[in-house]
Amino acid sequence: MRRKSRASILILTVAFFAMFFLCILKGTAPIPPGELFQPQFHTILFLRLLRVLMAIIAGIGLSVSGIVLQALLRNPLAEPYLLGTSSGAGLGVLLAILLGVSSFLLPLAGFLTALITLFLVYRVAVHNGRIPIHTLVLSGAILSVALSAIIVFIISITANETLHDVMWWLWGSMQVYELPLFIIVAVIVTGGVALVFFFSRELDIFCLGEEEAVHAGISVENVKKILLGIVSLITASLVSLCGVIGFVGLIIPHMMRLCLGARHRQLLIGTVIASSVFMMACDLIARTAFAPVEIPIGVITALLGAPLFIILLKRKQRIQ
Amino acid sequence: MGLYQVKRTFHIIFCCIAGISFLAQTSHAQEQNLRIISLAPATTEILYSLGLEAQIVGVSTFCNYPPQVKEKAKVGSFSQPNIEMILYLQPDIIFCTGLEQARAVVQLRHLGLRVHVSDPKNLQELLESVIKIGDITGKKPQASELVQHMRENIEQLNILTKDIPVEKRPRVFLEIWHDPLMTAGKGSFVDVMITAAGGVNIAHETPRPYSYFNAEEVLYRNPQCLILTYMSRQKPLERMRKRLGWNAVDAVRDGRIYNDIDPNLILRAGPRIVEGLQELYKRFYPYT
Amino acid sequence: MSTALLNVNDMNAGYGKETIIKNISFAVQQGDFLGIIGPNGSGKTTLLKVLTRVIPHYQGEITFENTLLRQIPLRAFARKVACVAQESTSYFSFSAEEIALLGRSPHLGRWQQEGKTDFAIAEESLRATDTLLFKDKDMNTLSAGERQRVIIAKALAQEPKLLFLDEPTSHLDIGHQIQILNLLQKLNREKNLTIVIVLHDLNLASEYCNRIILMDQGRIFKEGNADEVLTYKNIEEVYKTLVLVHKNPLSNRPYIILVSGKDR
Repeated sequence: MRRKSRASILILTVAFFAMFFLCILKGTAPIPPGELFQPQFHTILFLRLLRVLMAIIAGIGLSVSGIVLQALLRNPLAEPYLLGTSSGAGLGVLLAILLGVSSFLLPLAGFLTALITLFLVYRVAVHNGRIPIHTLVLSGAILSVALSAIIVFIISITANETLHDVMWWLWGSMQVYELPLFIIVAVIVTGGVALVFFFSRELDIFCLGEEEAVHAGISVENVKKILLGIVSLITASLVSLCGVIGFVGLIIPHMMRLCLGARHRQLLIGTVIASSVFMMACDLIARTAFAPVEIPIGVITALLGAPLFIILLKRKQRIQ
Repeated sequence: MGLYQVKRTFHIIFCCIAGISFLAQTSHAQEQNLRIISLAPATTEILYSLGLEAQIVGVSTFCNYPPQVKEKAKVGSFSQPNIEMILYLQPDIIFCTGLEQARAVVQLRHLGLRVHVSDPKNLQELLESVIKIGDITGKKPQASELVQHMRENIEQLNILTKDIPVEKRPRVFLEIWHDPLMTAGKGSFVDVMITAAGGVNIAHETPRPYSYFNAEEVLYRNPQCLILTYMSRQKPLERMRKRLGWNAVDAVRDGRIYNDIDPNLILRAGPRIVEGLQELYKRFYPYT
Repeated sequence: MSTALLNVNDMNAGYGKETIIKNISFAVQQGDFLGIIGPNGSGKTTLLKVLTRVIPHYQGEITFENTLLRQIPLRAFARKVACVAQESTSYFSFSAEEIALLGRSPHLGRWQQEGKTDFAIAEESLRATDTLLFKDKDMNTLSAGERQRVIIAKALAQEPKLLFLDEPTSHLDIGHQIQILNLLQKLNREKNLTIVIVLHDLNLASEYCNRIILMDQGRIFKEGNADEVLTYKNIEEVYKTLVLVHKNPLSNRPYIILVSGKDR
C-alpha cells in the first residue's frame, strides 16, 4: 500500500508542475509563450500568475477543509460550506453592495459575516462546553437555509443590478486583483493546512468515533475546537475572496481516498497536490474554453469532477 | 537691425509657429488614433455612428449592431469582461455602462486603464453622453451632427404627441420577460421612451428600473397596448389569451399585442432610439 | 496507600443531570480478570465509560496507580490503559493493519512516524486475534466478528497495563469467543495484563474471571468470586428469571443452566 501511494504522489507532483506551466503560458490573449515575458505583457503575466496561485490556494483550502469535516463529522457528505460559511459570506457581500461599500472592501465584509455565522452556528450547537457533532451539522444546515432565504428575500425587493454583483460571487471566480488580499488569504490557508497536517493521526482516530479518540488519549473537545476553528477561517477567507466553488471540498477527498487509502498522513499530502492540479485545470478550462467569455468555475469543477470520480469508483469496484 | 537679423527673427517665429501647429496637430491626431474598446452595445453603436470603426479594437459579445461589428475582437460578455484580452489589446480608453459593469469598471481602473462610464437615464442625458463621447474621441463635429439629427427627430415626435391629453394616451405594458413577469419602471430608459412616444407606462410608478411585476396589477390597470421585447415560438396573441383572466385586458381583446419591434431599438440607449420611438409611436397610434 | 491498580470509592455518575450509577466502590488489583455482569440498563457501560474517561464528570474518588484519575493527562493514561468499545465503525476504508497501528498512537510523538517496532507490534496483535490475513483488507469488507477482532488487536497493540472491554464477544461465534477469551487469559497470566470485561454471557464470566461484579439498577449488587456471585438466588433477584446453577465438570466453576418455559 505504501509503495503504491508513493508512486501516486510522484505522478501527482509531476502533473502539478506540468499544469502550473501550462496555465501560465495559456490564456485568452493569444500570446506565444516566447513573448509572454516581454515587459509589455507583464501585467497579463502577473494577472495569470495570481490567478493560478489563487486556484492552487482555493483547491488546497477547500479540499483539506472537506477532509477535516468528513473526519470530525464522520460523514462522507460533509463539505466545507456545511457550517453555513457560504450563505453567511453571501449575505455580508450582498449587504455591503447595498450599502454602497467599495468593491475593494467586499471580501472583508464577506469574511466578517462568515465568521459571525460560524460563531452563531457554534453557539446554537454548543452544550456544556462540548460541541456535539450531530447538533453542529443540524445547526449549520438550518442557519445556511435561513440565511439563503434572507438573501433571496433581499434580492427580490431591491434593485436588479445588485443581483448581478452577487451572482458573480455565487458562481465563483479565480480572478483576483488585489495582491495584499490574496497574500492574507494565502497565508491563512497555507498556515491552516500545515496545522491540519500535524493532526493527521488525530483525524485518523476521529474517524472511528469520539469515544475511540478519548481512549487514544486525545483531548477531544480541544482538538475539535482547534480543527473546526481552522476550517472555519480557511473557508470564510476563501469564500469571501473567490465566492462559492462547490464540489472540490466534497469530491477530491473521496477521490484521493480511492487512490491513497484513508490514512490522513498520505491522504492530506496527495489531496493538496491533486486539488491544486484539479483547480488549475478547471480554471484553465473556465477561462479558455469559450474565450473571451468566462464560465463560472463552479460549473467546471462539477462537470469535470463528477465523471472523474465515477471512473475511479468503477475502477476500484472492479478491483475488488 | 540689419536685414540678416530681420530674416533670422522671422525664421525663428515661423519655425515656432510651425512647430506649435505641428505639435497641436499631432496631439489632435493622437487623440484621433485612440485604441478603443467598448463593452456597452449602445456605446458601440454610437462609436460607429461617429465614424470610429477603425479605432475600435474590441467589443463585448453582446455588441451586435452594426453587422460589421462581428469582425471585431470580442473581449468578454456584458457583465464579465475578459481582463486579459483587454490588456492584450492595449486600449487607450474603455467605454462601459453602469449597473452590471460597475464592478468591472473598478477593476479596470485599478489596473490603471482609462474607463469612461456612460449611463444615460433619459433622452437629455443620452444626447449629452454622445457629445461627451465625441469630445473624448476627437469627433466633436460628428457628435454634434448626430445629436442634432436625434434632437430633430425627437422634437418632431414631441410635436405630434405633446397635445394629446393623458386620457387619450394608450396605457402600455412592456413585457421584458414572461416567466417570471418582468417589466421596466421609472429610472429605466425604455420607460422614458414609452412616455416620449406618447404612451403611458402602467409600471411607471415602480421605482425600480427593472422588476418583477404582478400579473394581477396588469389586469387591474388594463393596458391597451402590450409590447413584448422577447421572441417566442407561440404567436403573442395566443400566448396572452392562454393566461388566465387576460382575455378581459383591452390589449388582448383588441389584439394590440406587438412583439415585432427589435428590442435593441427601444432597450438600448443608442442612436437608433429615433427608430425605436417611431416604431413605438406607430403601435401606440395606429390610426394616425 | 493502596496496592490496587484501580480504586473506586463511592462514585456516582450519569449523563447530564441524571445519575445512573450510585455508590460504586471496588478495587482492581494488578493481574485481576474482573468481569462486570448485570441486566440491561444496570449501568455497566456507564461504569466503563467513567473508568475510561469518556464520561469526565463524576462524584466520588477514582484513583489509578494511586493518582487521582482527574489529574492524569489523557495521553499518559492511554499509554497504560486501553479500551475495546462495543461499536467502532468507520465509513472510511482503513485496512486492518492501519487500524491496529492506530493503537500505537499514544506511544508516538506528534512528529514521530510509526517505526519498525510499531509495525511489528501491530502485526503481532493481528496474529494473536487471528486477523493477520486481513492485514491489507478494507475493514468495511470484513464481517462484524472479524472487525471486532481487529479492534481488539488495536487495543492489544497499545500494550496496556489495564484493558477494558465492553462486550467484545457480542458478534463472535462460539469458536471465536473462546479464542479471544483464551487469548485474554493467556495475556493475563503470562504478561500480567489486568482485564476488566463487561460480559453478558454469565458462563463466560464464570469460566474466565477470577472476580465478578454483579450490577443492578446502578448499584453493585454483589462482588466476589464466581461461586459467591453466581448463585441462583442472586441471578433470580437481579435478572428476574429462573435458573439452575451447577458445576462445570471441567473447571469446577458455576455453570448456569437456563430454565425455558416448558420446564417450569
